[in-house]
Amino acid sequence: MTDYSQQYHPVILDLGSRNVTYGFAGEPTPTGTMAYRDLDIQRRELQFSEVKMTKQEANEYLKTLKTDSHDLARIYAGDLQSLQWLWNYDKLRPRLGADGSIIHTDQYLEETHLERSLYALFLYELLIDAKSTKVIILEPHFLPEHVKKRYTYVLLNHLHVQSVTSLPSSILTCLGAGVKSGVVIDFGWEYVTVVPVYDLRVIQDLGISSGRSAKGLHYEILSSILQGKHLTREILTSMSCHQVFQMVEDIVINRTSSAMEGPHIDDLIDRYLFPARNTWKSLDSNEMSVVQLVENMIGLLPFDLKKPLQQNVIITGGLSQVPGLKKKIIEQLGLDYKEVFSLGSWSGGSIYSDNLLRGKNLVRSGELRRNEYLDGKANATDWTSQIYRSAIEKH
Amino acid sequence: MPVSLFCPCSEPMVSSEDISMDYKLPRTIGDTNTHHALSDLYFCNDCRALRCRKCSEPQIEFKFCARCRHKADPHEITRVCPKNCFDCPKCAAPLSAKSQTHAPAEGRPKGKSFLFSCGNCDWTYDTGVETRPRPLKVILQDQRADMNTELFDRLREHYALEKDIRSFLSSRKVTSDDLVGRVTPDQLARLMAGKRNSYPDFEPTDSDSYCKVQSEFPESHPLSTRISHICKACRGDLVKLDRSDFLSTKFYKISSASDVLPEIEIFRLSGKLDNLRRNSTNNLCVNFANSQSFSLEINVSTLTYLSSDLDPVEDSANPGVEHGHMVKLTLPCQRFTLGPRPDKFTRPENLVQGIPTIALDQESKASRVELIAKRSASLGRLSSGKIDTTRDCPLDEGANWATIPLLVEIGEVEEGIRLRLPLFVTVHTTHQISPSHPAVPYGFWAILDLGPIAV
Repeated sequence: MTDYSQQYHPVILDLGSRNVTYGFAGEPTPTGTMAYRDLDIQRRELQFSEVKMTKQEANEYLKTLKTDSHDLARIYAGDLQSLQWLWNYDKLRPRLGADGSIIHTDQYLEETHLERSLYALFLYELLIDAKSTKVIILEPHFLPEHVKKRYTYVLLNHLHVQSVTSLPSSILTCLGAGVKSGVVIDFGWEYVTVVPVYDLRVIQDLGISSGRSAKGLHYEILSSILQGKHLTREILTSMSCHQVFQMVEDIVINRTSSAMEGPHIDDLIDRYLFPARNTWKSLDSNEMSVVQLVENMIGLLPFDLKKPLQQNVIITGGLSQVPGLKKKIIEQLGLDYKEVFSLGSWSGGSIYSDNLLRGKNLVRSGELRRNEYLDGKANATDWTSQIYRSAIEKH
Repeated sequence: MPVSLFCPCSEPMVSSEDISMDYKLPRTIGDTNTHHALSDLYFCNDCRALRCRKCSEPQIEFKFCARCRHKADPHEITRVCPKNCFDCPKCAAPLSAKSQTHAPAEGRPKGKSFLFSCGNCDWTYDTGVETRPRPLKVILQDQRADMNTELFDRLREHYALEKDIRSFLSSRKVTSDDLVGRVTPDQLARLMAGKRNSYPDFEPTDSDSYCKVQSEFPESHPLSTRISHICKACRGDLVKLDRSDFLSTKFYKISSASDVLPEIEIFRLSGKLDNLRRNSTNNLCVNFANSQSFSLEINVSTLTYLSSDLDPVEDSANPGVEHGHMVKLTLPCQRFTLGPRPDKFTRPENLVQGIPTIALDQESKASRVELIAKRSASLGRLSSGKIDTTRDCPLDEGANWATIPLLVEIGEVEEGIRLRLPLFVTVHTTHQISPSHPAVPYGFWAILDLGPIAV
């Protein structure tokens, strides 16, 4: 009988903003996708009536949401406090103690929540000891370095995995489609990113993103519901933050809700994700639509790269599941563009790890080993640093 | 949860130069993620410290199917029963499978079909006629394979071929015989001539033509696990399973904190514990009960002035200063002894001796008899409703427990704020567990959660 006790198993994790997709390398599809809050074994349902926010926080949220609705700001506060999404890209969010010292930061809460979720993931979903795994993380193009450092710390320091390797998700998405070049459009929670890939290399300077993505759409719909008086204060008070959140998610993906009618939902989604062309000039860089992003990016490409990329447009991410969205994007882009289907970055990572990494020296792929990390000899670095370092090493 | 224990494993690591005497409380004590029920904690005898889920490391000792008792290798990456245990995809109830033999028909040999049905809901699934004898699991796996799996297999073959071609061109570890049948003869000829631009193309799938088959299949039953725990700091065993039988419920070792630490409960001297109000004085009492068979010396301490939400602020050095916005704590009795747990304590007459007087009610004969036997002095102190702050001994004592008073004066705090009070408890004992475990005292923070403050 085979002795598996000395083997290290490669686990692929896609640590999204709201969900983690997990499974073992070599599998065609992930073992599962779960929301962090569903994995959190210590989670407590936060009722809307329990949500508190300071004046400073309220002003900040009103500014973020570009609204003057205090109810909307309070719902947003409740979503933050009930950890509906994990990564907060605003790095500096300290909570100050009475004496002015920093007692908690969102980073601490993120780390705590991530540790609990991943602990439960390894023990109850994957049914494997974390210390017998080597973890491969699918790294989005614009992942902030502090987020990378945090999950590396949790995996190596708390969970004792053997190593962490970060692979660029846009290239793996192309692998999952069987193409070497293409435009990868990723509709994430915080941002929609458009990344050009040529010959399985990211054209680094031309990656571009905008905040007109799932989170913006979520609160746009919520704002519309609140204005339409379908969700009164009395109803809100009887709901938990998660119920309110889930209601909007159902509207976006399943179009099921008594709070909004079908055509109105379609219209709102269209207006938000595809603002009219004559308004593009007035939009700032964080408000651009995905069509505008793609056209701008293609416009900057060298002439000989345009066609190969235009013929392989890959649309991925949670929001890409909205019925009809992909078709609409291609229609708006025009006849020069063609969409290809991809199994996704997870499956691409599974093929890559199983086929191409197996038996190879993983260190060249940027494997960060636990013993080196704990000894301080190596650390999680931004992928741009890795590129420059490997370029220097070559010379 | 009125009383929880604080685990310091989330405290930031600081060098000795950076330790600040400004902090009278641990920095993360305000975070409820660090608060745990006594029953959820372990106690490491080597470290003489509490261990929570985060600072103990789980190890999967056994993986097995609770239904068919099949035992899997715990190090293998199996999550589901490899045999014929299936669950309903709608309601997760066990599925029953019935097989039916089909006589040979025109163009088809003899075969069998399998019908899954759920006893809980109406869900059924028919595999259709299978003509080859195969395990049920394999039949379902093939039927479940959809365009995703097919595309994945094609991609995997394609990249494996590319890798082999690269290897053929560079190091010749892969020979031309390995490539026959996988590339066209024309491509093979070009490769053998050393032409590097002969990689086969992969035809990407047009998104419009992609169609995912949405169907529900019987789900394999997930495996169960039995887990041991070790201390992350010293790698010592906290929970060690009986490895002789994976179904055994015995442990070689189990270091639960509830077997070591005294259990702490909080009561109001008169009335209910809830409804604490702003600008009020509250007479509370804290009971400590010893679950060990030897006595313990207990020291309890806390801050005199506390901000209401467990901010680790500096305690005021000036007791005369007004602290209207804070909470003032008075702990008259800070040192006492807990006797050993009575022998045969599961007997009702011995069990009731382990219940503090303040918790006894009139509902059972044993508790009524115990109340009658209690000394009038202690009953008098408990029913007076007021705390004598000059008295430095417990309000009441029993075989293995002691009840001490705690005076809580609440100032002008914000309404709705949750009042949580920290107590630092030090435990001394002369009892040595084993020659390798000397009688070293240990300490821990207990958090008394008194609920939200009303106006």
